[in-house]
Amino acid sequence: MAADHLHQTNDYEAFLQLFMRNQFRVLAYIRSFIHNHTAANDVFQETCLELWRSFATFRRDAEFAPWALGIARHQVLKHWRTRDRDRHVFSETLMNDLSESAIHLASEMVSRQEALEECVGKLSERQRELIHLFYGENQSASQIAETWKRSVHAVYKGLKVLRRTLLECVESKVGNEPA
Amino acid sequence: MNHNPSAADRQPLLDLADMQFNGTATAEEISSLEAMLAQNPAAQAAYLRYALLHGQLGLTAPALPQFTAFEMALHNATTISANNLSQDQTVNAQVESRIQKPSSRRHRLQIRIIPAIIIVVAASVLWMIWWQYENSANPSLPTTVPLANSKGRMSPEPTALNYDNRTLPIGMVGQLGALDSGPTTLSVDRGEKQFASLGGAHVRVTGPAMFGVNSSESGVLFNGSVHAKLDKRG
Repeated sequence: MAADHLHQTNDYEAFLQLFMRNQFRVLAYIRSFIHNHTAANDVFQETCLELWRSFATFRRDAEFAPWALGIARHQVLKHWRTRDRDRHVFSETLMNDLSESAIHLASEMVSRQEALEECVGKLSERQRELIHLFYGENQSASQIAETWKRSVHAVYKGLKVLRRTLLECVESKVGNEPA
Repeated sequence: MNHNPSAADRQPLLDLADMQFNGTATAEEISSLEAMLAQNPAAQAAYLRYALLHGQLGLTAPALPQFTAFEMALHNATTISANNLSQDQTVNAQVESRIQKPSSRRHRLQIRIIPAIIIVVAASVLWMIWWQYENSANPSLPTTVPLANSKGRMSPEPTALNYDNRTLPIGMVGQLGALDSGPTTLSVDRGEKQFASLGGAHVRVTGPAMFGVNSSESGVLFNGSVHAKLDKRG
């Protein structure tokens, strides 16, 4: 009995260490494919549960990130399957390809996040506010437009300029050809 | 600004991706994007890098919500759980202490944002681990974690691990307050438990029930029943 508890505690600690080190990648991975904030949070929560449930099957000599992203991938695909009649989503074949390819980005995720933080630091106050409202507060473009007393089109344009600027900046920092 | 010809070639792809991320793309535009990506590894790589940037923007400093007392309490629970998983009473005392002293907490919020989100996101898993350990050590003693503003007591239960996530959630309630920032999962032992959110939602959960708090804006009812009423001011 005591040995069981010790074994469980070791499992908990091992899981915690690995999970806390990699959860950013898992969350970013999910948000890359599920653009609705609430839906992405739902999938992340289910992925956390599934990771813990499946931890017994995790080979300790393997890398945690690809394993965790593989589980996140299944949860993402499951979410997309519930929308398979929606013509606003990719086909399952393409989603399979993309979600598989994205796992190979795992090794770049940390350096990309760090580069992104640096690049965000160079943005104007207005652009940082746009990130806060759209990505942090999850406000719609029309809500932001109302607050800013601008057109919705102007907000979308602002988001586009913001993302392109950051993409170029991140790619230059991680040493890739700009997309 | 960018004169790379291959980059210029990808602008239509990125334009469509922007519309997809914004949620404004039509079915035809999604089809066009799919056609560009199909059988084109280079286009897929460019799209994925852009999508990842979109995904990671929500984790940058300007996007992150303010570090709340509740999250700080979870941070304490995290530390204690990691050091000694059986000290549930100490955790409860610290949770209550943090929630009841909003003025003193301001001095403790000088923490970098990135560790903050790590703590918040990890909370749900930590909670599961904590109560599973408690449950296995003291099966007859359910663990409890008080929530600020709640009239009842909510406690994590082992049912969360038995939750079949192939089953769709049966209901959602919105606008939880800053003290209920997720994601995390809470369970109601028995009876009716009520809590009000700063966002103006009055939520009543009838146990036995499990309620997932995804963020400060929404929650998901996994089992049991919930009644939510939005205050007209909210």
